[in-house]
Order: sequence, then structure tokens, then C-alpha cells
Amino acid sequence: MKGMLFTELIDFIERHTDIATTEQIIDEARIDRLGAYTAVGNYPHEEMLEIVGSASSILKSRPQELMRQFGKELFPKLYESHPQFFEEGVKDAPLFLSRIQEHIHDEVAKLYPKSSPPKVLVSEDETRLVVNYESHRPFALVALGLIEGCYEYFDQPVDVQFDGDLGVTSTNAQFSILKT
Amino acid sequence: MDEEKALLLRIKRERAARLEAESLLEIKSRELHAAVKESRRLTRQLEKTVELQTQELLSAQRVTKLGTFVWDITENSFSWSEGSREVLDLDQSTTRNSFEEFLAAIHPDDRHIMQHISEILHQSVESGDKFVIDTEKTFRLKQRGEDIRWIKFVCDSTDFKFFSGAVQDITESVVAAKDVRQARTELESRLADLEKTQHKLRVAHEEAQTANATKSRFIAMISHDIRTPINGLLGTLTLLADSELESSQRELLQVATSSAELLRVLVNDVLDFARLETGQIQLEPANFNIRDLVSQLIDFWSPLATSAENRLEANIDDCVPGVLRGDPIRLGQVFNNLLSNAIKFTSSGVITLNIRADDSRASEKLKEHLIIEVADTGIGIEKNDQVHLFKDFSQIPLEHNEEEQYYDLSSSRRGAGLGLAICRTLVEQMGGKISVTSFPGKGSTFCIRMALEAVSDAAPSENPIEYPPLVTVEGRAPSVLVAEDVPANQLVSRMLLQSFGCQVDIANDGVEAVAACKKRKYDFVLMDVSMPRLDGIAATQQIRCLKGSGFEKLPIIGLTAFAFAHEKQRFIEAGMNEVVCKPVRREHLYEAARNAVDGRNSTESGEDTTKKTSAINLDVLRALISGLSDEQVRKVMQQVSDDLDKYRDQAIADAKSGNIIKLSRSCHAIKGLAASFGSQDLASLASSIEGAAREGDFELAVANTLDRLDFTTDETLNALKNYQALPDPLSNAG
Repeated sequence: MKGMLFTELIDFIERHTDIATTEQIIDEARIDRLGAYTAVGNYPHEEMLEIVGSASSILKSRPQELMRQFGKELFPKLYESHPQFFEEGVKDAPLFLSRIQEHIHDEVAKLYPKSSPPKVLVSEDETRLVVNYESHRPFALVALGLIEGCYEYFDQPVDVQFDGDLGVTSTNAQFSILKT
Repeated sequence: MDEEKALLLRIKRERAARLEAESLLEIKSRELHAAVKESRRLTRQLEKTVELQTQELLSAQRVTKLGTFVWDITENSFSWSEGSREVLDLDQSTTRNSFEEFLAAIHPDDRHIMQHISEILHQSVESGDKFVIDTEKTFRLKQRGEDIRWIKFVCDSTDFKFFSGAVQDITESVVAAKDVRQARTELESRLADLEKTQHKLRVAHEEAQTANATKSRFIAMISHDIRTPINGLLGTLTLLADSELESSQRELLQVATSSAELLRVLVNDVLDFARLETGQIQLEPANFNIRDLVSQLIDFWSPLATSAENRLEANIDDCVPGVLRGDPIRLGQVFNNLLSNAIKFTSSGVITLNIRADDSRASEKLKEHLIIEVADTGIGIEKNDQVHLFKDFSQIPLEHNEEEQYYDLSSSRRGAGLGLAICRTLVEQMGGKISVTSFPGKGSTFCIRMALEAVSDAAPSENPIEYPPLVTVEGRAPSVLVAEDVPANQLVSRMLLQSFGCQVDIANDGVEAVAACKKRKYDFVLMDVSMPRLDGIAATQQIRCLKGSGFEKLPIIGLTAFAFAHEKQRFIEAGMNEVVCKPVRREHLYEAARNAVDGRNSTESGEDTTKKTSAINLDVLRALISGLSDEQVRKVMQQVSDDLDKYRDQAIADAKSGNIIKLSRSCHAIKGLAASFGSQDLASLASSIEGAAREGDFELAVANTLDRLDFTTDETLNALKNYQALPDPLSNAG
């Protein structure tokens, strides 16, 4: 998993706490590299779940909420740090979402041949936009947060619905967004 | 966690992260370096490939005299490939030229072509519309010296700014095309000439054929006509020889007789050859025994050979198969001619007929290659004369015609020189070859090489059932007199008749024929129409007038050349029973001979009731009268006979009066009546008259009525009368 997501996660924790709490969370997480991540490195995604778990126990908040919120705040960061992936003229969330697979993930797969980005397939009918998320990593909640962050970025209100209970082990999910 | 510990942890963590990042950076740098190196290598490789391909392309362009260019339409300039500069003969030092410079390279008369394209393309670029012009053009280069160079130009563009294209030197193909056009024109004119010539030739050929046919007909007619006075001449001379003459007169008579005889031989040969030339002689393959054939020939010629103190011998090699397939009659004719010549030109010598297998060609399957030689120890032939030996008079150079040229001509018995030409034609028709070797004073050898199919000796002879031996009513072989002057024809007739089981005597002319008939009672006579001294017609008339029993009924079969077949009626009127055309066909002669033998039987046996009744079909007649009493049958028969008689008279009267409708009706009645009691002959005759009358063929209807109806009706009436005398097998059975 790209190191950038780890550095962003640590930044996210620090934004909402302080240096001492952040370092404590990292220190108490069951990871064996001192929590030293560089944006250009690659690290096992299980370590991210460890950090989230540690944060959850120290901050006394549910890990689901942490992951969803992280996703929501991640979107503008990604948008700003990787402008090359974002086409000019895409001015609304549904259009952006519908182009993720083709314009971003396929490109990523080409740039980093060893990477394995999730599949994000979008379909729509007259009333709804349906986003199918499929990954071998249990980050369906981050994806949910990213969708919400996307609508927020384009300043569009959104109510994302999904079936069942999404947890920290969910790898697949179907999100349904009512058209306004 | 206190602040200090947290900061220490942070510092530791950040340092670890930095170290990792640095190590990552190091790895990435190395990777990058390697990648750059690889990239440079690839670039160099690519450059080499591009260079190589460019060279290949350029050399291909040179070879095909092709060059490429890009035409910048806004700048109106061309950038040329090396090839195109060569093609257009442009300055090699610069790769770019203005349109004007390009134009200057073009032949002044063709510049407008490119100017026109340029204008259209400029307009198109300015207006933004797609240009509508065919940019494929051909123009000439500005002439340098004698040669004109032709260039093909083509270009196209996708962005309306740069036009890519190619120029090609097509001088060779233009020249070639011109050459082809010129060659085609020449060829066409030559073809036309050829066709004209061919047409002329065809016309000439047709004319020649017509002329030749006319010639042949003419010769045949003339020869025949000349024969009659010659015969008269010879007859008169013979009579004169019998009278008392002084020795000087006798000498003169001798000269006159031999001249007349020569004339007769000449005319006969000419007639024979004319027949051969008009294709009237067709080969008739049959299985034959060559030893039998040779033995007959030797028997025939021996007396003549001996009279000139010659010895005549025949040698047939043991390996020559007994039975061969070929035309024995024509082969006999060839042998006959050669033997006759050999005997003529040899005195106190030896004449041999040798037949042996051709060992040099023995390998071929089924066919037996034979060498047949007729050798003599006679006067021989000069080398110069041998060349023309087998040619007919039409093939001999003119100057030779006037000289005494032929084998035949160099002796006391002269001929038209056609005998050997006839032999050659026949041998070639059989697929063989004839040649001669001869030394003057020592003799000549005529050699025939031909392949004949060998027939297994065990195989039955051909068509044994078709020609069963003829026998007279007394059960003996029929005795036949053949009256014929040409020895070859005598032989042919004799062999054919002997093969039918007849016993044959020969008369050399009409006089001999009449004499022979007086001496012996023949079963029939085969009479050649044209003979010296007394021809066939006159001889027939004399025989018919002879006193004694049966001369008026003696069957006489006339023999005549095919050319005079239409005169058949004249021969019949002269008293011949039948006429057979020459060349004689085995089946025709057999039929005629059988009819002659059978006809004589019926005449001699008189009133043969069984035979007469065959004019009606007894089964039909019996069916008609079955169940009737004898008295009733007698009445029916009487009625039928009366009716038939009445209708017949009526039909004849109708035919004489020319009433064709009534004739048709009468014949219709006869047809029905005849059919009802089984007289098939009469019914079909009546039917044919009725048909002819209905179709308006008046002549045929009347002719048939007058010629045949009377007779056929009589036959039927006789048959009916005879029937009543026959015991009825049905009543016997009942």
C-alpha cells in the first residue's frame, strides 16, 4: 500500500489530537518499524488497520467512524497532490466518480505495475448513482468517506446509502446515491 | 505520554523515515541511472534502425526512381527526399525548394498542370473546404538533350497545411506503353493483313478444291467415254488381224494394236487414280491370312511370269503371324501392282515377294511391324527417276512430264505411271511407307513397311455368320463367271467370290464372257460394265439373246464405277438383274450374289406354294377366317380377291387420269383390306402411295401405283389363291 496513505493517516490523527497523542497512538500500535513511513514507500495495509485500532482505543472513538472520516478528509488532499489525475472540466461529483476507474485507477496500474488499486464501477439510472467498490483490502469505509469528501469538494449535498453493516473488515460494498 | 517523550519518539520516527526515504532515493537513483542508460542504448539502437531503414527506403526510392516530399502549402515550399531530388533533377545541395524552383524543373508545356493543382490547394487552404481535385498527375521534366523524362506526381494532406506526396520517374513505363501501343497497332494491322490473306487463301483453296473435283469428275467421265471408242478400235483391229494381210500391213496393224492397247491401259489407270483421289476407296479392315493371300497372288501371276521365262517366288518368314488384321483386298491390289510391274520389266529373271517381321521395331505391343519386299532382277530404274516414281502426274515438275520418265514408260507396255502412285496412296492410307532401291540393269526392290495388328490364330475369322458360304439348290458351290478386264479387279472379285464359297472363272472382256456363257452353265455372272472389245451392256444383251435354256433368266450382276451409279437404270434396262458399285463392298457383293443364287433357286423350283404364300402373314389370315366353314372361307376369299382387284383397277385408272384425291381414297381402301388379311407388303405400299398423294407428291404416287401396285396386288392375289390349296393346321388340330 502506498506510503502516502500512511503519512496522510498520521497527519489526520495529528490534526485532530496533538503530537503527544499521535506519537502515543503510533507507539502503541502493533507495528515494528517505529511508525516511520515515507510517502514514496510501500507498506503492508495491515499496519494501517493497527494504527486505526490504536487510535480508536486511545481516542475512545469507533474505528468505523475514524476510517470514514479519514476518507472524507483524504479526498481534497489527493485532489491537490495529484492534479495530473484530475481532468479539467470535471465539475461535479457523479461525473468524477464515474471516471475514477478509467482515468485514475487504470492509469495507476500502468504507473505502478506492482500496485493493486480497487475496482470502482459506477452505474446510474434515472434516480440513483450506484458505486460498486471491490478491493482485496478492507477499506470500504475509507471509500465511503472518499465519496462523501468528493461531493463535499464539489459542494454538492449527498446522502450515501449502503446495505448492511460496514465494518473494518469490509472489502466490498455497494453505495447508492439518490440524485437530487 | 509527556511532551518530551513524544518529541523524542517523533524525532526517532522522522529520522527512521528519512533514512528509509534516503535509502529508497538511492535505490530509485540507481534504477533511474540504469533506466537512463538503457534508454540511451535503446535510442542509439533506434537511431541505427531508423538510419538503416531510411537508407533502405532511399535506396528503394532510387531503385524505383521514386522520391517523397512534403509541400508546405502556406510557405509554398517543398522539402525533398534525396530520391525526389534525383528524380526531379534538382540541386542536391539543398533539401528545400520554393514552388517556383520546382516549377522551373518542369517542362514549360506541362507547368500549367502543377500551377493548377497549386491554385486549387491554396484556395482549399484559405477557404477551409476540402479540395476537390485529383492530385495524381503526370508531367514531363524540362528537357535536357534528347531524352524526355516523364514524372508521376501525387500528394495528399490531412491537415491542409502540409501535403505529403511522392514523385516517380515513369519514363520507362511510358516508353514501354508507347512501344506496346505501337506494337499492338502493328500487330493489329498485321493480323488484318493475315486475315485478308487467309480469306484469299480460303477462297483460293475452295476454288482449287472445286477445280480439282471438277477435274476428277471430268477425267472420270472422259476416261470412260474414251474407253468406248478404244474398245471399238481394239475389236476392229482384232477382226482385221483375222483377215488376210500382207506382212507390211500386219506390221502396221501390230503397231496400231499395241498403240490402242497402250491407250486403253492409260485410260484405265487414269480412271483408277481419279477414283482414289476422290476418296472413293475406303479401307475395310478384316482378319485375313497373309499366307493365303500371297499364295493366291502367286497362283494368279505365275502363268504370266513363266511366259516371260521368269521365276516367281514367295518367302514368308515363320515369325510372321498367320492371321493379321488389315484390308486384304487393298493390300492385294498393292501386291498385284508391284508384281505386275516386276513381271513387266523382267525377262528371264527372278521375282520374289518376301515378307518378314521388322526386327528393329519388334518391341511394340499388338502391332506386327512387317517388311514386305517385291524384288526383281529386271531392267532397274535410274537414280534420277526414282525420286518421282511414286508421284502422280500432278506432282511431277513440268519439264519431267515431257520426258519418258516413268518406270512404266521405259518399256514396251507403257502406262499413265499411276500404278505406283496408287500403291503409295493405299500404303499410306494403311499407315505404311513404300520405298524403292534400284540399280539400272540389276533390278529393283520395292519395300513396304507397315504395322498390322496380329490376331491370335485361335481367334475365329471375322463375321463367320455374316457371310455363310453360298450353295445352290443342288447343294453345290455356285459357279460364277467374272467378266472384268483389269487384273487387279479380277483378283478382288475372285477373292471375294471365293470367300463366299463360289467357284470362279474369269473372262477378260465381253467377247470372252459371251463365249464362256455358251460353253458352261453359270449360276450367275458378275459383269463389269466397261470392258474392251465388248462392254458389259452389249455382252449382257448378247447373253440374253443366246439360244438355249435359261439364258434369259441367268442372273447378271453389273459392276460399275460409283461415278456412274446413276446410270443403274440403263444397265437394268439392258438386262442386268442387279448393279453393284465399284469399289466393291464385300457386303454389297455378298447380297447381290446371294440374291442371284436364291433367285435362280425360286425360278428353277417353279410354283413353290409355301414361298408364294409368304406374301401374306398366315397368322393374321387364319385369325380372320377361324371358325368359318370351308364354304364361308371360299366366299370370303372370293370377296376379298374381287374387292382387291376392283380397287387396284380403280387406283390405276385414278393414277392415269391424274385424280390424286380419288387415288388416295382407293389406296386407303386397299391398305385397310390388305392389312386385315395380313398382306403387309401390299398394305405398306398402299399406305406409302396414299401418303405421297396426300402430301401432294403426285409423281411418286403415280409412279408407285403404275410400277408396283399392279404387281404387288397380283402377288397377294396369287398368295390368297394358293392359301386355299393349303391344308389348314387349325382344322387338322381340331
